[in-house]
Order: sequence, then structure tokens, then C-alpha cells
Amino acid sequence: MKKSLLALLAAGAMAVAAFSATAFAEVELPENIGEYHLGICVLSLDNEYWAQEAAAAQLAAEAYGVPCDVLTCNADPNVQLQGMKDYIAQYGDKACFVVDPATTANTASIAELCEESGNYVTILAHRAEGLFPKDYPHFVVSLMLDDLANGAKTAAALMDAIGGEGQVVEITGLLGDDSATNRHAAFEAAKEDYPDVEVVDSQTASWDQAQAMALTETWLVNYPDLKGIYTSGDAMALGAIEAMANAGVSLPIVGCDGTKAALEAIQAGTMTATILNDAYNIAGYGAAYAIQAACGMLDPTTIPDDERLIFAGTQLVTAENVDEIYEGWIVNGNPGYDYFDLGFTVDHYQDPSK
Amino acid sequence: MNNKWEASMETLSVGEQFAEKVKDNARKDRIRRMMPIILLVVMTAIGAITQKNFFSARNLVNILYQMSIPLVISVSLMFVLLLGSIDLSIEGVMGFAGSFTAFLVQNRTNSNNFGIFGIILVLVICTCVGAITGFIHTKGRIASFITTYAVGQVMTGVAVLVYNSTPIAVTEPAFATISQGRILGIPYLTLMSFGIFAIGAIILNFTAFGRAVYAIGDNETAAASTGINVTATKIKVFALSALMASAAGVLMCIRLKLGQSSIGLNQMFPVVTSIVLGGGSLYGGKGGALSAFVGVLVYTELTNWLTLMGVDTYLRGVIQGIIIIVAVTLTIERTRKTISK
Repeated sequence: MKKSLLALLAAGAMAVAAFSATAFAEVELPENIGEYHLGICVLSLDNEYWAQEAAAAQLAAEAYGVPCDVLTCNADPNVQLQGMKDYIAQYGDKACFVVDPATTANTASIAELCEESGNYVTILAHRAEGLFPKDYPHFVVSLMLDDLANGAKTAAALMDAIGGEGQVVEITGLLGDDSATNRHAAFEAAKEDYPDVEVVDSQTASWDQAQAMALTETWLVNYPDLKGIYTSGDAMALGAIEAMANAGVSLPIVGCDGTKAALEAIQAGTMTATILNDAYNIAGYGAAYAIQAACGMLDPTTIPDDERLIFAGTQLVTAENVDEIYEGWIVNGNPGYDYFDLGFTVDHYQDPSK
Repeated sequence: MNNKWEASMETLSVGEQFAEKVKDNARKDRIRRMMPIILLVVMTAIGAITQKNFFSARNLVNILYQMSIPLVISVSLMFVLLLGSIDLSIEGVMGFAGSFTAFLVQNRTNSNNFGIFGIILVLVICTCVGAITGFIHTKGRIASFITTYAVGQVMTGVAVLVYNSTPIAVTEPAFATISQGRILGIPYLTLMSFGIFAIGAIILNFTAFGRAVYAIGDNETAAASTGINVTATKIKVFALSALMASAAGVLMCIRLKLGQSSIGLNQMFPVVTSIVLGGGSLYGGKGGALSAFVGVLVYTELTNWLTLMGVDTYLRGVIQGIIIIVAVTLTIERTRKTISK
């Protein structure tokens, strides 16, 4: 009885496997797909996250059999636009883009450039206020990271780690940067739920590890009863961790981004939590959307307007899931996403009124 | 007041007037030279009065710790600024040195474990890069800020190639020992940087090379006519500058235990500002070890104090900028050259 049940299960599993294999193969790719070219535009490759975005877009392009090129601009919006124009000049309407914009303001210029030339584009992580894909048939989707929700998650992880009471300090990112502003706002909001937590100081370290280290050294002297540290970025968290190590203390601390070194710190137990901003998700699926639209597999105008404003999936990383994430994202450099299943990236939708 | 002075002048002969003027200038010069020290005393006093923790032993150690890397960078700039040149490659060289050090010592990304030999290799490579920079600058007759800016770009690029965009975390146990170890409460890292600075100061003040640097900064043509080899001296200065920048990069890597190109980011201009705060000149010939030391100390005290005060993060930059402008106004020497750059 038991054996036959096992056999049945095994047969079932095989059937499912066979079915999904055919399902995979059944995605019909246009015959001329190899003629299309995907440009992944990032600010530069000296930043781990942007390099991961480039790698993710290349993975997705490979899955579709589309050649892919990385266009960098050294964070200069004009260089970014010029790079795209050059790419269009080379490949005409066979060019499509997935862009991490040099500045938020550049998103409008990018959408207009692509509309004018008739090239499909997905824009990642930033969107100028009032800029909507529905107004631009070639602006396939906007894929953003929900910094407010993510900041709330790490803030809660920190507050819980210190038992919901005591003194904490906050290290914010670059002043005026929208991610820094949102992650700071999330922390401010989270504070409301923990009345016994006192924020004794909040300073910017401009995303910089050394600056965060110096701040923390001074704070550890000034606030001997400090219980925890909230930071808006992993690099800054790592700086604070080094300062704590030198002072012989180990306080709960959270970051955001999911860099390799931060994941290693969580493995080592010196860091409490971070958010995996998952470049393989946002940039990989961003690439998939652009490719599908370019080669006619997807007509963006048939997607409901509000569903073109997407928050891509991210994950809270703690000691519990860090090993698994480290293995897939860092060691293998491929979390094994199915870039044909476009819906996978949708975590929730952005506010369509902003 | 002025009229009275002019009136008294009228009664003096031309020779006496000249002597008066020289004396007056000398007096002004003495006051100006004292200003950085006065500034340091005032800054320290303000810190001590407004913040009870400012003079605590742990905070003083923090200040020593936080000034250690700027102090090493200041040795680079001390020589370069004395020539009237600038070295914009410092940040790139630092970034490369930090990244390459992390790559060569025991780390989480590869199986390298060259220890001290890795560090020596880094210092040697960077010194050669500095010599090449100096060679291009002097032989190619290209302004130092163009040459060094370009070399800085190259080094940043190479740094990123070294770690392939994912910064390398260092696991070398000696790094933890150095960054956490103390003698009489003073961190090893600080002692090392003070040692490096002392060597730099000795070279500047007690060697023919140091005197040549001063002479060239004061008047290059005159220096050449006295038999100083201007080209060789300049090349040596840029080699020394890169060596110091790479030492700063290695120390930063020890401090942060992570090697990435951004290690050098925003490290140079605060030190240039510090040296000017300490009475150094951007036109060459003026400044030296004391102005570098005092300037770096004042600057570090200022940033430390602003953190202790818990100044609103949005206002911090504004306050820091205003204080620097006021301080520089007090310490800088007004040159007769028109300020246009």
C-alpha cells in the first residue's frame, strides 16, 4: 500500500515535471528574436548593485536568446541619454532598453526619447512624479522598490531585536536622495509603534562606510546606553559594525540593499537584518518586459494602466534565511528565476495618483 | 587712527618709513602664523565647554583614531601643495590600494593569503604609478591637476576590475588586531599614522630634498638656477604622494575590512581644506608639517564636535561650511596674485 502510494507520488511528480518542461518550451519565441538587442543602462559597474542589475538583465536576455549590451554613464544623465541614442542609431527599432536612470528627473527624458524613436523601455527604481507609462505606449512598465515598506520592515526588525525599548540612533543616506528620504520616513513612521524607543540622534553618512564608522565611534562615547542602530544602507551598517567591534560592543543593527558583505555579516551574527533589493528580480524582469514588448510577445497597451506601475519583490534577510539567499544570489549568481513568468516580479502596485 | 599713522610717517625719512613698513609686515606675519594655533585652542575650548564628553578619554582616542588617515593623506598633500601643484589621483590611488590589499590578503572572495607581502606589493605598485604621474606631468608639460585627475580615473577603474564590482571582505586576523589593538589606550592605527607623518615631516624639514621642494614652490626659476633638479624633485614628490595615498588606502582597508574603490571617495578635499586651515598655501612655498598637523586636528575636532552636539543633519553641512570659511579667512595668507581659479 505504502509502496504504491510512493510510486503514485513519484509518477505524479514526474508528470508535473514533464508538464512544466513542456510549459517552458511552449513559450513561443518569434523566429527573428535574435535580431533584437537589449541595452541595460546602469550608472556604472563599480557599484555591486548596479553590476548585479547588469548581470540580471544579461541572464534574462540569454533566456530569450537576445544579445545584450551594458551601457554605463558614470551617473551622468546626459551621457546616459546619449548612450541610448547611439544604441538606437546602431540597431534602429530592434533596440530595447531596461534603464536604471542616472537621476529621477532623467526618467521623463528617457520615456520621451524612446517614445519618439519607437523603442520599448522599462525604467527601474525611479520615476518622476506625474510620469506614467499609460501616457507613453513604449514605456512598458515602471518597476520600483518600495523603500517605505522595506524601511518599515528593517525598522521593525531592529525594534524587536532590542525588545521594543531603549536608545537608538539612525544613520541616513545621501541628503536629498529619494531612497534615503523614503527609508528615513519609514523609520520615523515605525517609531510611532514603539513609544519606548528613543531616537537620540540621526545623522547622514551619505551612504559611506567610513563616515558611518566615525559617527558610530563618537556616538558610542556619547550614548553609553545605546541599544541599537538603524541605517538606510548596508555600506553604512558595515562601517558602524566595525566601530562597534573596535569598541568591544555588538548592538543590533539593520541595513538595506543586500550586499555580499552585509549577508556575510548576518551569517557571522554581527548584523541583525537587511533588505535584499534583489537586482535579479527588478532588472531581470525589467529586461523581460522590454524584450517581450519589443518583439511583439506583449502589447503594453493591453495591460491595465495601474498594473504598469509595479513594486518589484524584495526580501527581508535575517539569520533564518541568509544562508539560502547567499547561496543563490551570491555564490551561484543566479537565483533561478523564470523570466517568462512576468507576473512573478509583481509584489504590489504603486500609488497611481503620484 | 590711519591719519595718525600717516602723520607720524610724514615726520620720518624714506629709509625709516621703509623700516617701519617691514616691521609692520613682520608683526602681521607673526600674528597670521599664530592664527592656526589660536584656532586650535579656540576649537578645543569650544568643544570642551559645550560638550562634557569632548575631553573624555574615549573621545580623545576617537579624535586620534579619526584623524589618523587624513594625517597620512596630509603628508601627500603637504609636499604637493608646497610645489604649488595638486594631486587629484589621491582618491583613486587610495581606492586601488584598499581594493588590491583586500584582494591579496586573506579574504572571503578568493584564496589569496599574501599577508604583509601583499601590502608591500601594493605600496610598490602605487609608488611606481606616482612616479609615472610625475614623469608625465613634468616631461609632458601637462598641468598636474589634469595628469593626476586622469591617473585617478585609471586607478579607480583598475580598482573596480580587481574586485569585479563586488567589494571584497577581509578576514585577515592581523587586520582586526591592528584596528582593535591599543598601546596605553592609543590605537595601533593612530600610532602608525603618527609615525608615517613624523617621517614625512623629517624628510620635509631635514633633507636636501625637502629644502628643494620649498625652494621650487617659492620660485621655480630661482631654484633651477641654484642647481636644483626641478624635474627629478617633482617626480619624487608625486611618487611620494602616491606612496602616502596608498598607505592611507591600506590603513583604510584595515579600518573598514572591506576593499572597494569608494574607500578613497571624498578623502582628499577635506585634507586640502585642513592644510589651508593650518596656514598652508595653494600657490606653493608656504605651509609644511605643522600647518598640516594643526589643520587636520582642527578639522577632525570640528566634525567630531558637530556629531557630539547632535546638530540637525540638514543643518550640519551649512554650519560646517560657514565655520570653515570663517576659519580660513583668519588663517589664509593674502597673496598678491589675483584669485581666479
